[in-house]
Amino acid sequence: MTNTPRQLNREAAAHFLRRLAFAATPSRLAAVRGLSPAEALSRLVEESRSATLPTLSGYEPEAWTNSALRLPNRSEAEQTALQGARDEQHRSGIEQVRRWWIEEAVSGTAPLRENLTLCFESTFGSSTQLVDVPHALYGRNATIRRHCLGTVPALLQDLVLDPAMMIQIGTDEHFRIRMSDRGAKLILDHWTVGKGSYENADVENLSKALTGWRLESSPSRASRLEVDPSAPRPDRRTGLTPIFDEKQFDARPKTLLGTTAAFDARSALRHLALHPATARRWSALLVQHLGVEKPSAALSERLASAYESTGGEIVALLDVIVTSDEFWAPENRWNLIKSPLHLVAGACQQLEIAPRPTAEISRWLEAAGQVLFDTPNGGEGGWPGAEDWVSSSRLAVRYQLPDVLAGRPPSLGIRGPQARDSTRSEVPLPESLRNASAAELRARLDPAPGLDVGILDQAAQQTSNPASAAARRILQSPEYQLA
Amino acid sequence: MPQLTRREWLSWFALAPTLPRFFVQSAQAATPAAGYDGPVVVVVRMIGGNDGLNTVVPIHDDRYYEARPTIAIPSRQALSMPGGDVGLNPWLADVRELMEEGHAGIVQGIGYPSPSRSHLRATEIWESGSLNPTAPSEGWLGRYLDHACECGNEPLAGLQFAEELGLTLATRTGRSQTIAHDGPLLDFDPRDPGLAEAAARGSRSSRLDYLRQVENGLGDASRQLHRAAKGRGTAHDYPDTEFGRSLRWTGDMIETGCPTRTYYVTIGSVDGADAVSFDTHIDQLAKHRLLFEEFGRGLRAFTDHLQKSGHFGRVLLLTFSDFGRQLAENKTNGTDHGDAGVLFYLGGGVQAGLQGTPVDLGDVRNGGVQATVDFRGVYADVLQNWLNVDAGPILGDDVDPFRIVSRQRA
Repeated sequence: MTNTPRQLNREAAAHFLRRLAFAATPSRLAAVRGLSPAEALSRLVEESRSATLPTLSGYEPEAWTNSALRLPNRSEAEQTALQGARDEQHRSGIEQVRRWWIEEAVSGTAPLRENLTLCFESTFGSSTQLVDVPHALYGRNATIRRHCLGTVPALLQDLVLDPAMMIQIGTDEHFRIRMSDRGAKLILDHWTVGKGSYENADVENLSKALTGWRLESSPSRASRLEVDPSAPRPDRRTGLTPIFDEKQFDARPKTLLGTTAAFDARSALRHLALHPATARRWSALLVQHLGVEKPSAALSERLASAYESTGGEIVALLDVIVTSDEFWAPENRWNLIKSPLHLVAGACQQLEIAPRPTAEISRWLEAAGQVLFDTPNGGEGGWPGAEDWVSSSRLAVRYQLPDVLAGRPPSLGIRGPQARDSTRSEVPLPESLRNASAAELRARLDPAPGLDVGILDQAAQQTSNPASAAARRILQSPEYQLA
Repeated sequence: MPQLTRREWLSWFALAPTLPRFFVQSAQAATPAAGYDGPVVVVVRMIGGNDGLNTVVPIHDDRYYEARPTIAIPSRQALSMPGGDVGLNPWLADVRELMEEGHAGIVQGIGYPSPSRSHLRATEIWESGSLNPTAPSEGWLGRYLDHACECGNEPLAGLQFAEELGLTLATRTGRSQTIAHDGPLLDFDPRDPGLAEAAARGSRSSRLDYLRQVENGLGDASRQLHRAAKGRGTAHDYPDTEFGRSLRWTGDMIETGCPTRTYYVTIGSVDGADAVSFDTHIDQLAKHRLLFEEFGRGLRAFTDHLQKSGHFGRVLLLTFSDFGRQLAENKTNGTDHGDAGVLFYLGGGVQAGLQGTPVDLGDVRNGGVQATVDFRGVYADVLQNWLNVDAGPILGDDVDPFRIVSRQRA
């Protein structure tokens, strides 16, 4: 007997939406109920494709100028002061970009797109220690969002010449005399074929293919300043435009994973992206992100072959996943621990929170272990997810969600009993739910089975706002952490 | 750093034969036992590698003053010590007072053979209590909690005030927990065990079991903190810092009979732009002043608090730090990673004063001074003479105790 529903009933529709669109909301449930899984996916894809791509004006990579360029005639003190001011500006800029991203993710305009953007940001990894320019982080986030419903090869090709990525992997000054092959190794290990699928010579040859590139101000910009060439890279970076210099490119033929050609950065990435090992890797990544932790060999095979036959179309992979038996299997239901962003995005959409308290959410995400633009291990490998999301400290932070939704900053650190503000915020409920029963709230917030109405009624007793108390009890439950 | 992963935790949980652990714990928690009144160990981690030579100062050794023209502690500024051979850092007045009162001591020349100067590896050695190249995945006190402590199913037998559990209290049996944020724990209403049990019957998801188990730990911590909030720590002058507040919670928990056997608090931080740690490559004097004042004030308040409440006799506190630092100062008014350092201790049953042999400034290797006392000897003493358990199986080697404990506890 197959687990895959022909048509989505309420329960199946909710499962589908929790996994693909952060949460089931009344309007989305109505939109996909009665459809087949493939039709429901098309609906979400259309919604995301027709949504306008968000922008944050002033943060385009081309708009950045280095306000602390190291000029030969500048005094040490002057330089230090400029650097301090620039670093501060960068820090606050990064926080602004973070809040912009949070707003996009939680607002619910294009939840599938945002879910995939989050997944791919984790795949590529990020570190604000390595990339401290907000414009570069914004640019990469926008590139990922633009490509997340396209193909993996196009995404990879654009990312290899993305300013943030170039800085992160150290190819922002990558010449014939190569300083390091680290970037090539990271590409092979984390974004394409993976460890064990290549030889040392492939690292070197990929590195050669990436040569010729550097980041600087665009040629159209006037006034070339004389920069001290011995200064550290951040202090002599004139801009974020990738420039190709033919003379610095190693044009000789190179052998990459058995194929010899005069690879350059784009063609090398395309070649790697179409390799079967890359197909398997990206398939596994997506299927796990959508909650099938250990896909069977048969499903992996179907995914890899869909990848190969469509040239790495992401939607084709999603289609295989949502029509697979495993996605719907009882043992795979309610087994995905929501990431903090998934959790808060779902809650905001279910409770129609507006305006969204993005500053408080950003602080809360940090304490819950998901600092946007800062994945663990210096940006290598992404968030491990699953049980790593929830230690007892992190669960305590997650349980502050009701207050954070109400716009209250999370209470963090060891502060002592006296510092405690024991007043609780009312959970901000939409008009339609202000007098809702515990059962209605449970239906709206859609926690895993286990929270019976008796538990919720008990929470609601003796409060002047029973609906808020019941909602709080649901948001502060193990059941609500699951999708 | 190897530690018990959450997955291992879960698999341990999966092996529990009859009742899921959260039932056992909830049932226990519902009928709180009488307050615990046995011995307690408090570990204080001094983050970054504290410089032993500017802590216990060799005021009569010219080699010290020659090697540190800028940052040596002048002998007239150093606090005098009995015997007069060495002096104490001037910002450790509280500690000297505690030593004079018979409550505190310092082991000088603490270290181990073939020392590491890497923060990660050195910390791993100190926390595991083992020189084995592949450190055990449980800490020295974690192994005590696992194998020797009569703490049954006691939740929170080990408690660390931190985001992540360090190795020291890492156990195989999930007996240690961390507290990183006290506000949410005080706000948390521990679940009614009856209802939790009813809910669990409907559970099909192993992830839900895992989350419930974590939530149960949260409930335990919340109950203990609520109980501890009745302690009298606020009447004492703890520093208003993360270290001071953690130590005050520790004092309050001890005072109110919380069942925790081993606590872990940290002084110094490497997070954030304004963080100050004992990794004093730059501006050592200023950093030591801040940290030693905070440390001494914390120890003073902790002692007063527990003496007044009649619990000081149950407590043994000891410090550790990554490593000591090199004899010679560097070019940025600081010192770089070295070898032997010092270990502070405090409690109601200790041999107070300065212990161990001073380091030999004539035997400097790669800039570092050599250990005269093996730290595992101190651990052996704590296990054997304070916690009354056989140190051999826990430390793995036959290590002779280095006495800091003055009497055997009843």
